[in-house]
Amino acid sequence: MAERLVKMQMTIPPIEGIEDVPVAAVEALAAKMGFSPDRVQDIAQALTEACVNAIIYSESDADVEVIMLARQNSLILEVRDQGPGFEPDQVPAPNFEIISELGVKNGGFGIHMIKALVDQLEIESSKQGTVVRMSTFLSKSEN
Amino acid sequence: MTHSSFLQDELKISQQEDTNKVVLRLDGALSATTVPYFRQTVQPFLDRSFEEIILDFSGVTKIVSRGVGAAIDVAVQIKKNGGKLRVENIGKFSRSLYIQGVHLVADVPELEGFEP
Repeated sequence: MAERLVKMQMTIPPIEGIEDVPVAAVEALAAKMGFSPDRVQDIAQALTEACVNAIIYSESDADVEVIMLARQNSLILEVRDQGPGFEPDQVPAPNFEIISELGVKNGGFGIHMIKALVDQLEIESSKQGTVVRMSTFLSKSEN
Repeated sequence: MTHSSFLQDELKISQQEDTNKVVLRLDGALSATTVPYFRQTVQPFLDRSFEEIILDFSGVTKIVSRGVGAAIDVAVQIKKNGGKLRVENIGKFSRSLYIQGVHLVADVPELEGFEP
């Protein structure tokens, strides 16, 4: 029998703080799929970061879409916005030596954080918007 | 002191002072919305040159990278004044704090098995 894909979708307005709603849904989904509590937290944190970026860089009232794609062994989350886009390759990795001396005055950590929390991160961005796709795979011990 | 508005994140910071140290207990979200309030509330304690500022995260419900960045800024500033920052009760947010390097500038509970 072919592996079943379960797709769920939620749209949220670009209001700071509202990301808690899809994050709560994804936490429940990831726990139900069998991810360990630590991995559920990683997934929730990554989704929080992606949603917050989509919301705070939004330049219109256009909704942000959160798509959840669950398979038996993987959870793929997509956050789609209609913001102005950015060049993912030009987001520098944090320089901890400089940060330790001077601190962090602005953002810029979100993408780094997501990369560290999920197994796979893909970003497609243009002037029409951005898709952040985060994939996490169930490990054998979690199965 | 509370930062709040409809549907937005809220953060409350309460303080407990000792001679050379102050414990700031955070209740709520340390997020993009509340970071300005966090910075504004913590700054007077930095100006007073406490030897130690302790951020108690036991009431934190959500944290985002900007919030972690603000905590790093506090650590860097207090270090410049000869003091240190300690972050306590980080619970489920341990990995988020370590990923951003908080452990490099502040005392935080050890996180077993963390690989940068």
